[in-house]
Amino acid sequence: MDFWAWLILITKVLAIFVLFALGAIPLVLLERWVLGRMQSRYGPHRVGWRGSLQSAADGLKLGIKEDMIPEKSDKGVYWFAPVMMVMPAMAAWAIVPFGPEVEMGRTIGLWVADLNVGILFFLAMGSLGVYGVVMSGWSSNSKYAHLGALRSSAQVISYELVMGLAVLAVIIYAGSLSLIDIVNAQAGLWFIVPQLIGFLLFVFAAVAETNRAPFDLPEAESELVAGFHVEYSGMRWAFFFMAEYANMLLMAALVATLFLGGWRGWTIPGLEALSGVIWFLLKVALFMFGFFLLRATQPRFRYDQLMNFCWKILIPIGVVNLLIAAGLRMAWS
Amino acid sequence: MADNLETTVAFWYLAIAAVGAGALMLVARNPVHSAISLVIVIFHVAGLFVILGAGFLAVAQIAIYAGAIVVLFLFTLMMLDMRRLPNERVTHRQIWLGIPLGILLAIEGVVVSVGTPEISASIKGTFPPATISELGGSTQALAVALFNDFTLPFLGASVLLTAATIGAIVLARRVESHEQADFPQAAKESSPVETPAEPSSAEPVPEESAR
Repeated sequence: MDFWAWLILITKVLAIFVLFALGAIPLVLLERWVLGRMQSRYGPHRVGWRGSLQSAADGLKLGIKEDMIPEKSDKGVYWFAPVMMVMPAMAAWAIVPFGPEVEMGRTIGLWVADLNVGILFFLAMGSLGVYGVVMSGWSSNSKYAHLGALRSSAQVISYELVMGLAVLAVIIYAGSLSLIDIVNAQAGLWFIVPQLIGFLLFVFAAVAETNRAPFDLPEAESELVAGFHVEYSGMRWAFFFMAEYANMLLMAALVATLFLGGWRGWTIPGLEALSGVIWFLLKVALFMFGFFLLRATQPRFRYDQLMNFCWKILIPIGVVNLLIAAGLRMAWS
Repeated sequence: MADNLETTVAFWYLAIAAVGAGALMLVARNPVHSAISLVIVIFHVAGLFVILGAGFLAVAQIAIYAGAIVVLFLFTLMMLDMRRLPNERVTHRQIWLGIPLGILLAIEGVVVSVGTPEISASIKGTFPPATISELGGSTQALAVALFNDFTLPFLGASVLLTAATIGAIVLARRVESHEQADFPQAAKESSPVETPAEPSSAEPVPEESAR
């Protein structure tokens, strides 16, 4: 690689890092506004114009808060757990295509890496994410954290299967594991049309994997206070928060890429160069709003309902859906 | 592929870290620390696979071993809440089998690493790099091997694993407590004599339905 290739790569990585580090601030604000409107209350409205600086102020508060470590915790693991939470969430962003290739002196793809095993890399990183939860819950030496970690590990392993089955059906249609190829394969028809069932399965699994309502059993505040991160404070706690929002964004980006044609859409007149990125961001925003909507409207599942729903309903549907997809593909070719 | 600077540095880092974490896994007294060290080993070995150009194998290694198997270990360890191993000698009778086997393995390792050029020339395998790039990547090469050349053994292994899974379910399932889980009242009435320790036999019920 020459100098410019290195520079472009480092710029891309830094862009992902900044997105990760600062993305949570506007997202938290938006979520609180949306929740406020849906629950007939104001939401944040004091700091800045209509409360627009609220989450920046919260971030500042977390930054200067004391970093508490419980006396009888397992110090090494306790220290490492937030890192383990953040690392896979950031690594998985490397394969997300934000837009098509653009010409800027040389051809630059708007993604960090086009792996030929792309979507499997995402699944692998998603399965590593559970370690942050398990390590934090175990090392805190607290009942609530322990229970949260137990729930999370069982829940994430189970819903990973659902997600894998949904992704496999898409791979069968696209004939490739690379996300760029998957987006290109949707030139004629977005995969949500032939794979509506796969799309629904993926959305269910995405909500469960990110531990969001109505599947937020690992941190159910009415019973477990805050679940696996109950003992954390200050910046360490902020890491968990950032990882949660980065994972939500990642899932929204993956739904857009796998089922809604990624950056594909009509070319916007006047903004030809940017229209791909704009379409992609619009689709991501739609799903982020969906996450907020779910949280505002759905009551939390009971834990046995959650597991039964996965193993007795979603996984059988996923297997049948996969078989049908494979059969249709065989019939076509 | 192994002769540019980046791969050499990456190889030595991955190799040393993998062996170091492996040693840590063996000496750690706390089973959870052992499990975490095992994840680090798996991660670095996956990195070695990437250097060898086997991306699919690397990702499958992380997704299956780190993502499913070791998480299950950790889950079990947390359920049992094993903080430390009892501080007793862990050398058992297996040591008399273990030492000769270890020496044999060490000799094998030395022979392979010293005699590398001749041996690696003799074991080219079915898929040298040229064939892999011709097939379109290591994923395709693996698919050809699994679904064309070795279809029957692959299916045999699948059937065997399914049988093992069903066997595990049958063995782990306790018939009495299962009946009580569905109809606690009916089970009590139908067998009034056989359940003297009733509270303890009824206790696992919520736990089982949670799983």
